[in-house]
Amino acid sequence: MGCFERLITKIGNWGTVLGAIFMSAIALIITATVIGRAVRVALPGTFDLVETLVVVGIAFALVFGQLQDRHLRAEIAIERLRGRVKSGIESFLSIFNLFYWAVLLYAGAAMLSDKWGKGESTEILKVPVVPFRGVWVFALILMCLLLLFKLFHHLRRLIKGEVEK
Amino acid sequence: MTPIEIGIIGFLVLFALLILGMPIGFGMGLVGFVGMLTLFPFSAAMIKMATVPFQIMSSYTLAVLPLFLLMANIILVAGFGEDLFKVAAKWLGHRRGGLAMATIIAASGFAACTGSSLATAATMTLVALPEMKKRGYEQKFATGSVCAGGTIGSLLPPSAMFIMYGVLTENSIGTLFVAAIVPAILTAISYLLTIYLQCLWNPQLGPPMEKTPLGERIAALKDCWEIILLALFIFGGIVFGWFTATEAGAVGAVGSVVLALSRKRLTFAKFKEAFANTMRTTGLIYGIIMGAFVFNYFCAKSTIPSALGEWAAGLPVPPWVIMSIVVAIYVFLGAIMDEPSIQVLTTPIFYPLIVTHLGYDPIWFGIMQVRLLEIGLIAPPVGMVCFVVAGMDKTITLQNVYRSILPFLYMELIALRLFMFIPAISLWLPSLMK
Repeated sequence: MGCFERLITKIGNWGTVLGAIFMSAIALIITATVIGRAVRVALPGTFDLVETLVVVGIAFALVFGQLQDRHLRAEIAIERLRGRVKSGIESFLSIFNLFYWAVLLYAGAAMLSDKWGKGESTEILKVPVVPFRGVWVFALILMCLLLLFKLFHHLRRLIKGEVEK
Repeated sequence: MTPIEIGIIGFLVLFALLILGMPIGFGMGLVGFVGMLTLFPFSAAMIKMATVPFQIMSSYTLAVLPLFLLMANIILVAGFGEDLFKVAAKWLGHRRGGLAMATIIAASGFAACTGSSLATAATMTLVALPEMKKRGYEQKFATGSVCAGGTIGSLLPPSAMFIMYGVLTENSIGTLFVAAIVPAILTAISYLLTIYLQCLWNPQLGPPMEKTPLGERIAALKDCWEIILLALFIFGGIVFGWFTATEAGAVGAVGSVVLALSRKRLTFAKFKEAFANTMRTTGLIYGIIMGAFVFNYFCAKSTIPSALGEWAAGLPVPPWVIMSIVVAIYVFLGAIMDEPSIQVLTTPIFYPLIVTHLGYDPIWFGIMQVRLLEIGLIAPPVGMVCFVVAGMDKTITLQNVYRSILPFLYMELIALRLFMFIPAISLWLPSLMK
């Protein structure tokens, strides 16, 4: 499993790089629009481009947050606990976290399959939206796998009684 | 079970999960989903779970957040905070408590570019605190000014708290930014006054430095004029309607990269660091927003906010009494919970109550809410700014950091009353926009 986990982590990190590139593109497109407006040159379709490109950035930002275990949580109670009690609560919460993201994955995948044949696209530039829905579903799969790995780690600690490093 | 009972159970379960340590956004999303399942058919709940996150991710308005975060992180890694403090120290250092005042001024300038209290506090701890200690400033006094300076970040555009409020309540983020400018300036002035009064009472707290010649002081401005210009350009752009908040974020991000490159402050490693920080924080905040939207939908359908609003509006007391109770609740919550959690949890309940039922202005309430959350940033025992400062400066205990902030906290409470009873402080500048 270690090998598979490393692979998923690597994919997540590369996805984050891709997301950062898309974010930069958004900043440049909007700035070009502002400059264009100042010199009275209209750049149509900025909204379309931003609303689609940003999906890639945000989807992988969520994955990166999970990779770095930085999703904000109150740690006052959990940080005071030790050993099996802590691992037990962490495992219990990991199941809930996984369930939440699995629901999002199921709903996102169902929406993707629904929109697949309908040719959903943006209003002005007619950019197809389906590939971006696909990226979101892919990010959700990564997210679920990362949470699954985390659950396994907590369960192992719970069973073996290991102390978190 | 009635929808209200389901809503109350939802809130209790959510609190339990958050206290146990579940990520805020995930917890809200999960409780919201399960709550929806009890109120609607499975298919309706699933459609909501499919549409809400994608709508949030693909929102043009919400793209303001990563763009301003990118700008903030570029400015942070390029070390512009240090320049601002050095310049402010040259102008104010010769006065009693001058370096502490310089910290407030530099923190305000830095916060105007980053909009982050924690980043401002961290930068000022690194830059200003050692300098004040070297010049013989009393430790608690110096630490207090760093913590207080840090809080201004939440109040000045591009504050993430205002973006969050704007998104949750569907109010204009640009208007919120503009409305926050006067309160932020007044807050900075109140902090300067606190430092002045403290030094008047005990001159040993902040001994004066030797005076820098005027020519040298003017020459020092060349070290930071571009960053001040960038901040003014962004504010000006929003105020005068040259661009929207999202466009301001993009211009700010591109501008900060150009600025950092022109000053040879941006290596590839720093660029990578800035992007990594941006992606991390973006993921964190979007995770919360997605969960908050699902939960808010459930909360609205449980009819708790409207029932509470109708009950409060029917009470035989003036609206300001209810508003005062809300303020007290925020201060209490600020002492036990972190600010993002308080904001996403309370907005769906208090916004309809204060704005819809009691008739207060939504922009004014936004300013009040962020000010209250800002107080929470320095209020014990969960003052996040105090945690940052105590964590970075190992020579002072967290307890002493909390003591150091008390004079500023008293001043905050006085200023808060002013903002509460004189709404024009917040609403005057946005009225010029119309």
